[in-house]
This record gives sequence, C-alpha cells and structure tokens, in this order.
Amino acid sequence: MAYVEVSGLRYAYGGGRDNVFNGFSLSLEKGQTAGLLGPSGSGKSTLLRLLAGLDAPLDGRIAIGGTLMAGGSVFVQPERRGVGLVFQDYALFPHMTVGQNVAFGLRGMSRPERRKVVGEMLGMVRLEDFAKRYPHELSGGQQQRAAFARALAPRPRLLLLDEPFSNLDADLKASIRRELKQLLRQTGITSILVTHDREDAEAICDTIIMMPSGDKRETVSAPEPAVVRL
Amino acid sequence: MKTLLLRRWKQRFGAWSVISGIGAVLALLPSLYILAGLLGKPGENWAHITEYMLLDYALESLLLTGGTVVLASLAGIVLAWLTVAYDYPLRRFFSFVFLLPLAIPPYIAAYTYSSMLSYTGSVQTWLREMGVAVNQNYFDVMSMKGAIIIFSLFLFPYVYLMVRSFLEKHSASFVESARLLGRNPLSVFFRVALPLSTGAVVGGASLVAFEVLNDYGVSKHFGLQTFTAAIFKTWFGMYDIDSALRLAASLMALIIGIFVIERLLRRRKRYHIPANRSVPLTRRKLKGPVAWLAVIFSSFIALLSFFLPVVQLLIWAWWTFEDVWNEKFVGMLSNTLLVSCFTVVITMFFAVVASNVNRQWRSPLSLTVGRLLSMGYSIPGAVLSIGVLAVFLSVDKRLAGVYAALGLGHNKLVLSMSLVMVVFAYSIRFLAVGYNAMDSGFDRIGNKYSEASRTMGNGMTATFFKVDLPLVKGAVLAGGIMVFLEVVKELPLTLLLRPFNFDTLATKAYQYASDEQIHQAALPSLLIIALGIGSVCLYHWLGRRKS
Amino acid sequence: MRNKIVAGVLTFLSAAVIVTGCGGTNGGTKGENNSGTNGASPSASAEATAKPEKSGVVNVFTARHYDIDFAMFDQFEKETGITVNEIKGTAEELVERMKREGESSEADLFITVDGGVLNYAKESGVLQPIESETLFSNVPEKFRDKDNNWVALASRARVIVYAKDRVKPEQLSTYEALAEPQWKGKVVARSSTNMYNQSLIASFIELNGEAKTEEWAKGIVANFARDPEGGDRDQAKALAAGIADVAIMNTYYVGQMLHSKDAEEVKVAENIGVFFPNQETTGTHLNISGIGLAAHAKNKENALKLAEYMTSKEGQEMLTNGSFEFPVNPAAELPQLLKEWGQFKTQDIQYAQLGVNNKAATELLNRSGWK
Repeated sequence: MAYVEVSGLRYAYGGGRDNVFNGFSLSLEKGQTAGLLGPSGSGKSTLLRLLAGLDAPLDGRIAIGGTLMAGGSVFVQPERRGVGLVFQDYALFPHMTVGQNVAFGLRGMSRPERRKVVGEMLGMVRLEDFAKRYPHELSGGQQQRAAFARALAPRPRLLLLDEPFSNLDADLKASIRRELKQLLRQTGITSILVTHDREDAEAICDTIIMMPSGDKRETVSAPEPAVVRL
Repeated sequence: MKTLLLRRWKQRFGAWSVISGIGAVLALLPSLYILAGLLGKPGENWAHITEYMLLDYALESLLLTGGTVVLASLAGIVLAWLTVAYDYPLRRFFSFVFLLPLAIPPYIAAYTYSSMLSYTGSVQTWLREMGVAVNQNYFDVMSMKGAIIIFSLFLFPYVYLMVRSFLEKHSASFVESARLLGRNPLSVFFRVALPLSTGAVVGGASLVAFEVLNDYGVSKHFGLQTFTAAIFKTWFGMYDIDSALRLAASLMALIIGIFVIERLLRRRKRYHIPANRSVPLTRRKLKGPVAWLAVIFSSFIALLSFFLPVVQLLIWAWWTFEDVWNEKFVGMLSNTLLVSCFTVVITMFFAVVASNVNRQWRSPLSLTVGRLLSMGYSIPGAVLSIGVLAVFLSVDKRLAGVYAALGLGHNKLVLSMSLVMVVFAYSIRFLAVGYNAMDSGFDRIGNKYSEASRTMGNGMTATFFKVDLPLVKGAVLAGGIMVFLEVVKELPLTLLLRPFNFDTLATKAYQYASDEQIHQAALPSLLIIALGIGSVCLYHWLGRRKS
Repeated sequence: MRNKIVAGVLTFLSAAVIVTGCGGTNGGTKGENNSGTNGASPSASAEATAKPEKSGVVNVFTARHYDIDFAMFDQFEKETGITVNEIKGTAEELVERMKREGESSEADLFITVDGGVLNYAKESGVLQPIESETLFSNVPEKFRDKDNNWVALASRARVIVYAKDRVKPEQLSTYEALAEPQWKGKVVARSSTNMYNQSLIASFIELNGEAKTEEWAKGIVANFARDPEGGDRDQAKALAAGIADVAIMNTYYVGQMLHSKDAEEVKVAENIGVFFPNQETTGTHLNISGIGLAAHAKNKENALKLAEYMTSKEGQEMLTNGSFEFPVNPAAELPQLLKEWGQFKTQDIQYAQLGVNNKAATELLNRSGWK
C-alpha cells in the first residue's frame, strides 16, 4: 500500500461534462518527492486541490498515509487531512508577523512548545531574525521560505507545492531549488511539486509524472511514472 | 525652464483637464459659501441654539449614527461571510435578496414599519384577534432604538456588498491556507477573514454613516432631534437661514471627524492585498441542522428587510389606488425620471472626464480634483442645499441686468428655484458614485491600451472614444445606474431646493406620510422601490457579466 | 477631435438652458398653469397672459392638504365655471415665494392653517385688505384680521382627550391641572416642533405670561408617559393601548377617526372622550385656518368669489362635514358630532398673537425639555 494512493479519479470543472481527469491514478511512496510536469491547463493545480480536499472528485479514491480521504461516501475536510499546500502567491497572512504565520498551524501545544517549534522552522529556512517582521517587509525569496516554514511546521503528512518558483527570478531560482531539495530531504516529508519547468522538476524530484496536454485529457493515467534518475 | 513649464502645460492642460477642473470648482462653491457665511455675526437665535440645543443635536446624531454603523456592520459582515464561504439551500437566492433593501429608502421603511406596528396596524390588530395581550414596549418603533434597527435593516447592504466583494476577490488563498493549517471554519473567520476585511468594513460603514447623517425623513417621522432635522426646523420653522447655516457647519465638522477616523483606521494597514486567483473561494457545504439554521436566519433577514414591508405596501396601495392615481401622479413620475436622467448624464460626464484625467496623470492635482468632486457625497443634502441656494441666489442677482434686458422682469429669480439648481445639487452630491465606478473601471483596464493608442497618433479624446469607452462602458453603465437610483430615492435635498409645485415620488410619499396619510404613501413608495429593484437587478447582472 | 469636445460643451449648455425653461413649465416661475385641471389649461394659459379679470381662473396658494378643500374647489368650478389652480406647499415656502416674486407673483389667494402663520404672511406684506360685504357677513369680526387682510375659514380646538374606561370627566378641569402630580406618567402629547403645540404655548404666554407658562411646560413634560412621538392620532392610539390616560389633541382628528375607513381607528376613537378645558377660567384654545387675498392678485374678483363660496353656508357645511373642523359662518349647520360637543368657552385673544409669540414659545419649549 503506497503512502499516497489515487485511483480512478474523475473530475470536471463545475461538475460539467468536460472531464479534467477520467480514471487517473497515482501512487507515491513515503518520503518521495514527485513532480507534476505539464503545460498550463493540464489540471496540475486541480490535482493538488483534490488531494488537499479543497475540491471533491466526482469519482475515485484518494488515500493518504493509509487513511481514506475521499472515496465512496467518505470525504474528509481539508482542515482534517494533514495536507500542507504552498500556494503560488504564498498567501502569507499580511496582518500577522512571520512568526505568527508559522505558528498558525500549531494547535494543541503550550506556548513555550510552540515557540520552540517556530524557532526550529525559522532556523531551517534561515529566517531566524525575521520572526517579528511582517510579510510585506520581506523579499520574494524570503516570503517563499516563510511560506515553506509555515506549511511544514505542523508536520503534515503530505506537502503540496504549487509552482513554487514561478515568481522568482533566475539566479534566485537556482539557490532556492537547492534549499528546497535539502529541506525536503532533511524533513523526509512526502511531497508533490507542480511546475511547468522541466529543469526545476529534474533538480528536485525523485519521480516525475507527465501530465498530458489538453487534447489528450481523456485518460490521464500514469501507473508507472517515467522515472528520471538524478 | 520656461519651455519646460510650457511643455508641461501643453501636456497637462488639454480640454479634458480643464473640464475636470471646472467641475471641481463648481462642486466646491457651495461649501465655500457655507464657510463664508460663518464669517458674519451670528443671529440672535444662535445663542439660544448653542445653549440649549446644540449638544442634544450632536448626541442624538452621534448615537443614531454610531448605533446604526455597529448593527449594520455586524449584519453585513455575517451575511457576507455566510454567502461567500458556505453553501446551503437557496444561498444564491439569498445572496441576491440581501442587495434588495437598497431599493427601499429608509424613510419609507420607517413609515411602513411604524404604521404596521402601531396600535391600529396590521400586526397588533392580528395579535389582538388571536387573543394575545400586547406589551406596548415591544412595539415602540418610533424611538431611537427603532430608528437604529430600521436604518440597519435597510443600510446593511452597503457593508454586505463591500465585504462580500472583498472576500470573493481577495481572500481565497488566505482562507484556504488557514483551513489547510488545521483551523476550523469559525477560527478561520475570526483570525483570518475578519481582520483582512477591515478595509472593506470601514468603507461600507462610512457609507452607512453618511446615509444616516443625511437622513431627514426618518428623523422627522420618529421625532428624533438630529442635526439635519434641526437644520430644517431652523430654516423653515424659525425662518432663520443664518442659524441653519451654522448648524450645517457644525454637521460638516462632525463629518470631517468621521473622515479623519476613517483615514486613521485605513492607514494602520500598511500592506496591500492584491487580488489573487481567478478561482473563487470553494464553499463549504453546510449539512443538516446547521444548514437549516442558515436558511432560517437568512429568511428572517430577507423577510424583515424586504418582503414584509413590500407586501404591506402592496396591500395599502391596493386599498388607496383610486385615491392616489391620477394625471398629477403621472406628472410626478415623469418629473422624477426627467430629473434623474439629467443628473445621470451630467454626473457621468464629469465622472468620466475627471477619472480619465486622473488615471492618465496621477498627479496630486488630478487626485485632488477627484477628491473634491467626490466630496459631495459626504455632505448631507440639507447642508448642500444651503450652499447651492446661496450660490444660485448670488448668480441670479448678478444676472439681474441680463434678465431685465431679456424682458423677464425685475428682481426675477430665474436660475434659483428652477430645475437647474436641483440638478446641479444632485450632481454635486452624487458625483462620487459615478466617479468611484469609473475609477474601478479604469483601474481594471489599466493604461496600456490607451497608451498604445496615443503612441499611434491619437489624441486623448479620440483614444477615449475609440479605445477606452468600449472597454469601460460597463463601468459607465453601472455608475449611471447607481446615480439614477440615488436620485430617485433622494429626499432632503429635493424638499429644500425643488421648484414650487414640483413633486417627485419621494417628496409625494413624504408629504402623504407627514399628513398622516400613510396608506396613500404606499403607491409612490412602491414605484420608487420598483425603480430601485430594476436598478439593483441591472447592476447585479452587469456585475456578473463582467466576471 | 477637439470638435467633439466643443460639440459636447455646446450641447451641455443648451441642455442647461432648456432645463431652465422646463423648470419654468413645471415649477411655475414663468407663471403658467400647473397641476389641477389639465383639461382646461390650453385656453386658460392663453388667458392668463391676456386680460386677467375676464379669465375664468383663480390661483390658490394653499398650505392645507385636506381632501375636502379640493372637493370644495371642484364644486366651485362646477357652479361658477371658474378654474381653480392649486399650488401646494408648506406655508413658509409659499410666503417666501410670494415675497420673492413680488409684483409678478401669480398668487391670488393664500390659504393656510394657524393664525400665527396668517399674521406672518400679513407682516411679510404679501396680503392686501379684503373688501367684500359678503365675506364680512359670512365671517364674524372675531374671526377676521383687524385690517381685514385675512378671514378665517374654519377653526379647531386643542383639547384634552381621555381614555373613557380609566378617566372620568369630573377629574379634568384645566390645561394647567395636567401639570399636577396626580397625572404623573399619564400624559402624552406630540412633539413641540409641531405648530399646533407652539401656538398653544403662544396662547398661554399671551394669557398667563412667560414665567408661569414655562413652569407649566416643565410640569407637563415631567408627567409625560413617554417622549413625544407621532402625530395627534398616535396620541389617541396611545390612550387605547394603555400607555397613558390623557392626551392633548385637535378636535377634528376625533371626528376624522370616528369616520375613518380603518375600522381599528374607529374603535380607538370610540374609546376616547373629548374634554374642553378651562371653561371656568380662560377658555379652550382655538386656532384657525384662514384665507388671505394676495397683495398682487391678478384675478381679484374670482379670488373673492372663491373666498365667499368657501365661507358661505353651503361651502362651510361641506367643509365641516368633511374635515370636522368648526365652521366660522354661524349660519352653517354642524354635523351631529360637533352638535354633541355643544358650545364651549374659548380663549379671548387676537389670533395674530399666536404668531407674534411663536419665537418665544419655541424657545420656551426648548428650555422646558419638551422634545
């Protein structure tokens, strides 16, 4: 039983007839980093939203960490799934400090415990000195690191990243790529990365799933993903 | 140096800027007259007023405004969140219905409710027939409490609209991130959605505040001693324009205070929230008893703020149709439409010109012009009337020679007490509405199209007609509709400035109600509401079409 | 392109000019006919600018909006063929307009409620003396201006009404008594911003002096069961609802409510009694509605004819049966209800004083906290 199991997934926008996915399947082992590669409009972000529970599939099963998240009559709400998602625009809460942002997902901890975790996370992304700053005071790269820290802090089962590099310029990309890869290795977290840039995917991911473009949408299935050794 | 200035001049001061500037000066005149009037010695009444009445007026106005702002904001925020973040049966229907109270002017709601709930009204009569003993304290609508509730019920859509629009366009990623970080929906609301919406709440709340301060009908009917009611009383009851002017100035001071507070509240937010994502917020489906709770709550609000008063008015109109409908009535209807259309044309003209100038140059001057033009909205109708009347009286005096030469007689007042004055006043008051619509419209298309056109050799006017107008006609339409609606509903300014024997639907309804003929007021009221609903529907449909 | 702007500005300016013209037709600054009888207007407008005396028109500036007035005008038109044009407004608006228009004003008659307002119109110089034997015989001297600038049309008393099931008439005597402690929490009245109350107080100032009146006002305010709200009819409803036991109200409202189409209003009116106060002392407060002849009336003959009609036995009987005000013409027969009320002693003051004392009355009311 793979750590992330998607089978027979069917989804269409607005419940209409135009299927984005029809019989899609995917499996991921624990600790793996998968890249979803494909042109825009191929439904990559949609898959992330389905995994996160922000949208519900019309058919099929999604199981994460052995727990059924969607399938049959089961549907687990996003706040219960333990899935982290870093949006393309980071969505750092502008009215909270970086530290408060990172602490946001930490529930059921005492104040000193929370502070410790926040400190650890910020240390991991090298933003220790920025805890009291506000997001709009940070540069693009710093904001992204903060977004990572926030998503990782609650130790999610699965981390989803939506086009993490699209807002960065070329030199920054290279260093962030390295950092991200190291972060993912360090935490050993299972993750899926969505991107349209092949190089990004090759730099970071263990496996790459090719999402076919528009006209081949009918059956998107990749039981044996093309594996690219790094 | 001189050539640089000259170039700047040529660049900046084309016909468009000039028109815009003229508009701003015209809009400023009434306020200047009011301020100038303060420089004279106060009349003898003023001492009496300051000693006995001024504090009461201030307190009453503040209490009424503050209470309404709080209650209306509460309702607006809750309903906006409910309809944006959740899905429940009939949600789409309710999201639209919550806009409809805007079609019902608060003074009409006031007459309707006070009559419905009075001892001889439908509600109490029915209760008595049911054998229920009625505790009069619950039915005392004609009080400060009643006024606050009624204002809130019919003004909350301002807050609702602004918050809902904000949440729909700007909050999706934040809300979803918060959910993914494990927060339950209530926590997401209080810790994320609400703090982020404060800008929208403040914007909507100030609109509510201006509406309350502007009101005359409700205060008069309920016997509240607000500033506007006092201005009317001093002007007409005591024949003392000077004191009325000073009261107007005091009210302006209050308004400026509100402005300052609003600015302060907005300044604290140092960040700018960009519109993110074209995918709207995914709704969370409500099930079971919670869903029913949502439906019941929404129905309750919809009933009170729209269906109940409209049904009551329909019944009364049915009773009094023969009494009220006659050829004079048709004349009144056409008066209302005539005046509204003129105002829309003039207002949108200046709004388009000024906001186009502003978005081209974005200079402090053009921004100021824009602000001056929009200032009228916050000046209560009663105050504006005094200024406008003063302006026109002095113009008429200066033109007395011209009038005599044209054979119109001596000491004639041609412009004052004519439709020109009323339309002028309306335009000043409602220009902000059109301007804001145009501002957002131009914002949405940005400058690139018009700049491309300019580099291809088209002047500003040609560019506007060929390139900009097709792109922003939605905004022009939307702005025009809102101005139309505002003019149809308008009361205090019309009462004070209209030519003699010129009745609009609003003044007619007011007159019937003040003559204690509330049932007869139903028909003109319903026509206003019908025009309002039409406008709201058009506006809503336009909004949907854009997105 | 520049042409388009010029064209636009020109259109705008011409629109403004047209609108001013339209303001004339609708608003009447140019003096055409408006409202009322549109059918007769073509001929009438031609005549209005021709020889006034021969035209069949009279322009009435009226601050009374009662349906019975318009019914009377219709009846007058039928009987004489003279067209009546009504220009409605508040008294202040109308007087202001007549002042401003001066000689070119097209007002013929000025009709309003309240003796004080009639006096204000006179003082503002917009009325002229009436010379009509018929009018003098229709309207007794006490109901005429001492310089005959106006004559009364009808009168109404401002009385004490009481809840029949809780109060006996024997408990009532004077206005002054309402300020006494036994009525604490049992009195309601409408706001002091209303002219009827202001004139009531003005009459008290005339009879009893400011100091005593202010004391009384403070006393009655202390006895209010609730802050003043609503009109006179709402005070009656408050009695029916048990909020208070006595109220101050105009007599004609009682008549109108008893004959109302609204069954509930009739019920309310049936349960209140009417008491004419101060019969042993200074008399009940009476106020008048009146007609004035405009200073620059262009249709003087027709105006007088209308005034004579409205004060004739026929006109007065029509009026009193429609509005339940008291007629001024002694020859007119009263409706049953008014007959039942019988004769009563009224205040002996000049109606002009109601206007003269208005400012003092308003300030007094403000000082005494009568909202």
